[in-house]
Amino acid sequence: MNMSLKFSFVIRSVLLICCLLPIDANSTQTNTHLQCFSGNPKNLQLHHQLQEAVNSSSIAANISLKYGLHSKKTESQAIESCKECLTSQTNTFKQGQSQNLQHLQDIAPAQHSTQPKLESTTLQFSSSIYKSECVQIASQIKASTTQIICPSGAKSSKFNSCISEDVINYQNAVISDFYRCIKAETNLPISPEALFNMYSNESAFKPHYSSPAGTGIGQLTSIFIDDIHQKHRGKITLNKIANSQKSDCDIVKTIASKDLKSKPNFNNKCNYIQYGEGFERNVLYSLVGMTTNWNKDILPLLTKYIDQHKSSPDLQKIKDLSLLNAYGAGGRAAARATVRQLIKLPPSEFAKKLTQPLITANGNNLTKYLTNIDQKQKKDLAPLFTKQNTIDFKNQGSKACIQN
Amino acid sequence: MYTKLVITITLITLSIQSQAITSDLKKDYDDFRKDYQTVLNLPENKKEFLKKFKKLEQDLNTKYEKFGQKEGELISPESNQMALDIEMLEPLKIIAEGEANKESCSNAAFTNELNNTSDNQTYQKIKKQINKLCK
Repeated sequence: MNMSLKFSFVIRSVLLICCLLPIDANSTQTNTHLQCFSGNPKNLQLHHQLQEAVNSSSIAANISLKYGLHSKKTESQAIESCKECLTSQTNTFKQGQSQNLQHLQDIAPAQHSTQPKLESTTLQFSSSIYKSECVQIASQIKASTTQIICPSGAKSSKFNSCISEDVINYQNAVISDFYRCIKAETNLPISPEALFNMYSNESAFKPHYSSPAGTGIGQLTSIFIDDIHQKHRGKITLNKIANSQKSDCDIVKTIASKDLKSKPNFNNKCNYIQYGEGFERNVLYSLVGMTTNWNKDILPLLTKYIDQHKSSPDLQKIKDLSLLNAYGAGGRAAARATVRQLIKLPPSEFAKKLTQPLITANGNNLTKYLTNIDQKQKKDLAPLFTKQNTIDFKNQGSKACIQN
Repeated sequence: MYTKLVITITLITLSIQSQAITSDLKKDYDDFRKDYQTVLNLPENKKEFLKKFKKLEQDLNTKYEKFGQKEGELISPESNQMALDIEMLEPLKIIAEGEANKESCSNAAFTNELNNTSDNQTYQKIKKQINKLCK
């Protein structure tokens, strides 16, 4: 390991410990500066829940660390702000962290001596897939649905919790991290922009939305969760993630491993909502469910078509929309019937038809979910983006929301 | 004047044709739906079901494919319905392929649940059939 890598490792360790320190001293100050992109500024339940999760959950702490969510400090600033971590013997660390502290104290003086050389260097955090501004805007979509406060599980349609920047950035980081793992471990073809459309449509990135129709950011249903735990369906992907050796899966695999041993109870909605494990599980399951939809439901009907139209620029859109149709409330049979019908058409027509109603003789719309997304984007999302006037959503759609 | 009238009539005819299927296709669709109802009302006796289902299901697929070839790129509501009908039958196909053994019954019941929101009426009928075939 070269010197700069060593240094980066030390700084990351220092920051992890800083993240895990009690935050009470600063929380009041932070709260007074919180900006709510949506929701009631007086209801900081999600913000507090996230702070608590970063203190108590290794998943939340590791995401915060990996994506540099605690601050945008440079290495030298980070060391300055964490001097106490390195010198104080009286800090109250949680059990199991004392070894890390000792290790940092052992090596820190040597690292401090290199500080002048590295003052201008910025830490190499992982970057989130979506522009933060886009998630902020998407969170402004209004929906009247029941909300759940965790850990109590209290329900109300009036909580209207503040969606603050830390909440937005954390959710963006979790989705990005788990998406990267799924892409590394499976053949899920969904594009990040299609995934953005899905979360915008399902919950407007509100993790605490829950109704009989669905729970949490991905609006998971009971049958969807059962599907994840079916031996011949979702468990195949869950197993892959749990046993992954890829670094992209280091954080998410802890949830997959745990859930393979025991399926979390869906009656306790916080298992799929609460920051620290629940919200993160919701993101993991929405991605695992999509992978199952792809491999078991859509791909068998599309394989030949994909092969015949390999070079078509419309192929990605076809895959994205067919997958979203399978994810939506229309059910498996409708999603498969849609593909069955449209493979008769050339790719450009196939892609076009997917965003139009495909009505059966009995009056069902096979593409209801997709037409809903399309309408929601035009009616709700596009005007919000136009108002902000910073993202070219009108011309590029959600593609404009992907970080370079 | 006469030419204008001919053009107008032609355009109206073409417009009607693009939205509705021909009487020939309508007959094919009605045949398909009749056979489909037969499948949904197959005997609850396991042996009888296994004997008859495979052939009926294959015939339905053939009828759907022929219909698709005839209508070309029209994508009519009737062919959409036929595609959905065939998909809704998958749980019964799983039972037939697995000779109604325990695993096939469990997979069929689960697949039917995944189809619940696609066509609730058919889902209910198939659920009853599964329960009887797998008891």
